[in-house]
Amino acid sequence: MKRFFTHLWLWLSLCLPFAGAVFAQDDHYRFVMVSHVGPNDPNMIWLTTSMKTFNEKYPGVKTEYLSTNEYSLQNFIAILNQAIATHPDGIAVPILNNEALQPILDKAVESGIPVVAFNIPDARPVGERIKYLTYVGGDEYQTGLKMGEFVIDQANAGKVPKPVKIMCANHDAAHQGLKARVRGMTDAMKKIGVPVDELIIGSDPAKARSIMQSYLSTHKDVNYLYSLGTISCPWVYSVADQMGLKPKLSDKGVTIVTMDDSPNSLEGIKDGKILATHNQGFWFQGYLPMEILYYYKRMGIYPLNDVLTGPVIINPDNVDQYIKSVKSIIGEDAYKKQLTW
Amino acid sequence: MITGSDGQSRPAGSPKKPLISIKNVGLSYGNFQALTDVSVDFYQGELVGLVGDNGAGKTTLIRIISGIIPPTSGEVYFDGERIIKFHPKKAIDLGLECIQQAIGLCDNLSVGRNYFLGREPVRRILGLPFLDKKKIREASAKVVHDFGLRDSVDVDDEIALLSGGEKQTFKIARAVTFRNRVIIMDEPTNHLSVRERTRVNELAVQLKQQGLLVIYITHDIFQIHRIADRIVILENGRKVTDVPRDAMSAEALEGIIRDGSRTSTKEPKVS
Amino acid sequence: MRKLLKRPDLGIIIGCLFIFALFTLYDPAQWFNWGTVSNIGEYTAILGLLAIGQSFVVLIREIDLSVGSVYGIVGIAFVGLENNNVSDVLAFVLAMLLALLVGLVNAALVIRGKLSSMIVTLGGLFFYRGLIYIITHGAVTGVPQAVRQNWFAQLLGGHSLRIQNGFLLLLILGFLCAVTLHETRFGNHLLALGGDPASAESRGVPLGKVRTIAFALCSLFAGLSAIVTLTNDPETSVSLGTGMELEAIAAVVVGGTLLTGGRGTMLGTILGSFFLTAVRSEIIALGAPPSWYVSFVGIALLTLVTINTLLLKRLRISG
Ligand SMILES: Nc1ncnc2c1ncn2[C@@H]1O[C@H](COP(=O)(O)OP(=O)(O)O)[C@@H](O)[C@H]1O
Ligand SMILES: [Mg+2]
Repeated sequence: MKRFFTHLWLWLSLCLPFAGAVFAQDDHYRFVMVSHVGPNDPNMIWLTTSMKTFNEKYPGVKTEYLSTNEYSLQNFIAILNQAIATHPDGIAVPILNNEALQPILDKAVESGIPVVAFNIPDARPVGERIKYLTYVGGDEYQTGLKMGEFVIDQANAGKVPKPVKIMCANHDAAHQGLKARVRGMTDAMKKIGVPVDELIIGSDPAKARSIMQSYLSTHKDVNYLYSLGTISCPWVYSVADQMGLKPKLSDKGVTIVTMDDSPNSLEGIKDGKILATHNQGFWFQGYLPMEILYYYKRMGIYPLNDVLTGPVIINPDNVDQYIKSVKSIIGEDAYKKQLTW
Repeated sequence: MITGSDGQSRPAGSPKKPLISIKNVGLSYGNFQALTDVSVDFYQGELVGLVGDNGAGKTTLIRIISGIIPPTSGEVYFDGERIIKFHPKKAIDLGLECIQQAIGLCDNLSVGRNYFLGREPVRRILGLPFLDKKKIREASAKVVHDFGLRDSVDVDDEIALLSGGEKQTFKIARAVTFRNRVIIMDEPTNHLSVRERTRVNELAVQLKQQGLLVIYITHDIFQIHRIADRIVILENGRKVTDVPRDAMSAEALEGIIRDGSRTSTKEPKVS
Repeated sequence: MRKLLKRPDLGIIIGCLFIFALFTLYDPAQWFNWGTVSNIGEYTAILGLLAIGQSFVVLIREIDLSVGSVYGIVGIAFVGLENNNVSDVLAFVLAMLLALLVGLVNAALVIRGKLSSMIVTLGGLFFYRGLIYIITHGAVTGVPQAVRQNWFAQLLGGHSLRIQNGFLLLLILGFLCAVTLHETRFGNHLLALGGDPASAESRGVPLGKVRTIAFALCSLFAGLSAIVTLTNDPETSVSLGTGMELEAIAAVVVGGTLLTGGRGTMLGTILGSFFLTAVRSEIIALGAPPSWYVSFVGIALLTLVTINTLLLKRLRISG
């Protein structure tokens, strides 16, 4: 069905460039966000909602959100190519893979379509990297680093135990972003001489539980558990709890930190099971690329630096505000549904 | 010799009604016509040699008779009854047993289990059916003994340990002891030593003497001419010859096969 | 003695004795720790149940790559029914019917569609996982705490004398399947089909029926494994069962069952599941670099398969 709409849209938009040319003198632009965040991903709603907000502010601009259903580079490239073929006035796109996207995007830029990268940057320095205007999104390395620094701050303030050793639970060994988070955490901990282990736990809960149990049974000095994705944070908690490691937030036992502002992470903090999580500003990642493209088209200006929309650390002090805003975006029902504690 | 109205011959003294009757059977594998309009009758108590060059269609004909593939056209009768549904199990139930060189034994199973494969005896324990291993062992050991297989053969051993000749003998033994009416042997002596070959041929004659119908497939006309009652020759999927053994010499028959493979003869040379 | 040497699972029996001795000598305190024992037991039960089902399919020269996703979708169906106030027994029956249906579809596509089981079940792997995404919209909750206290959930997921019921279930079902495989007509037909399909067919073995039952059993065991897991542990996820198909196949192969079919035992499969679980657990516990254990498990697997192959060759030569 979705594919049908994609095609329908493509056919329609094939006829549109002519119409577009007439309106382009005004601010009647058409911007397309090509994304890997599909309907299965709870983050999609942030992007589409913030784009809607943008539309309300700039009614002359037409925005489109195109996404693959599942993570597949090939499908993504196919959709991207189709989108470029319709000659939009601007594209926002995550740089899933430097090599694969470089020829496509550089060509688009040369043909006069401005590109803004969102969510995933091309990590190479400007000049070498793909010729997009700017990047809007989080930074995986900073995410790990900031979380580490937050933990150290809290420990210094005497609110939580001093870290002795940290275990990062990685549910997806092939995910470069998770590796960068581990690097960030490791660098933060280096400053106070605390070792960091990365444990590949896989994405099946039973297997992950067994692996963590084996690890924790002998690595008894580990007192911080960093769940690298919201998916694994209830697993990490329950293993620690069953092994009697006292994961409940206090100045004793193990302490758990996690990622993302999903209902699981937020409620974990609310219940005192988790010390902190982070927000990478998905709302901005939908809104800002549109606005940057708009002002670039209108006035030729754009931010020269990448726009980092995160990480913002969420902790017991500010969690209520996030719970409120998440509920308002995804709805009370979906919020409850996504809770797997 | 009595010549039937349809030009087929059958041994004098045998009952008039054929046990297996093939009528105008054709079979194609996709576009390839493997059998064309073949009609042949087989009677109880005779040993028929089914001869022809490689690729003549002998095995194909046998596969139809033993229910593995249905014919594309024509009819097959068993004991006067037309076969509608072709299935190996049905052929087995009718008392027809096909012994093929390459198949019939599962190498991973024991001698005993191969002996009973497809008709395993069961014993009920608490109402549940379990293999009757004692019966399997005893019955198969008896057969191994009666058919003169090596004494060292243990019925619990995997059948893979038997030699080619032993396997062939074992298959024939299995066919005989299950009170079959028809035994078909497809190239039973390929790859066998001279002694083993003689043994298999002796068995074939014994079976016939016990009143079974034996269809013996080979491309060695000299070997079969010594023991068969009747010779049927297939050529390019057609029946070209169907004569009592005494009617023609082995050399003459060999000539037919040799010539046939040069020029495909449509009409039967002898009838 | 001669009988023992001919067992297809000889390699894994030796392998298990070896790791048992090795871990006992190396770190008895860790190895005989109740936490370790129950951790290994728990995961061996999950993997073992999956692998028993897979054994039936591998024994007939086929493979079922869909079991990880079937484990996922049956488990999620079970949880979903529980959460919609369906009684746990009924939820179990319905979820297992779903598993049966999947098995029958796999079998039908392989037999009627004349497709390779690798292709059919690879399709299943993606299809059922995709279905999970669609049905759940990316999030699933576990079996509610209250339900896990019910007698039925306790029966599957609880403990008897501190031993996981799931593990006892594995032993009981493993025994029953071994009896089925070696002592019944169906088992004989299954082995015959795996050893030589043409010969089996020529003896009147109903190949289609045997294949269908094998695929059905495989899916049913995958579903059962999921339900046993979920009645014990609260955690679940849309990724439930991801990658389990490969672990199950590895357990079967390590356990001495030939991918070419016809040879194998349920004991070998259970020991294979134990071996993989124990080796992984101990490698992690004994302090291998945490991101390296995956490769170590791979090496253990290869070693064992090599031993199996060598034993088999020696057997063929010595007759
Ligand atoms: N399954 C099959 N598919 C296609 N062609 C076949 C098949 N089996 C046999 N044939 C062909 O049919 C012809 C007759 O084969 P067959 O009956 O095996 O001959 P024979 O047993 O007399 O040597 C050969 O040309 C063979 O290549
Ligand atoms: Mg042949």
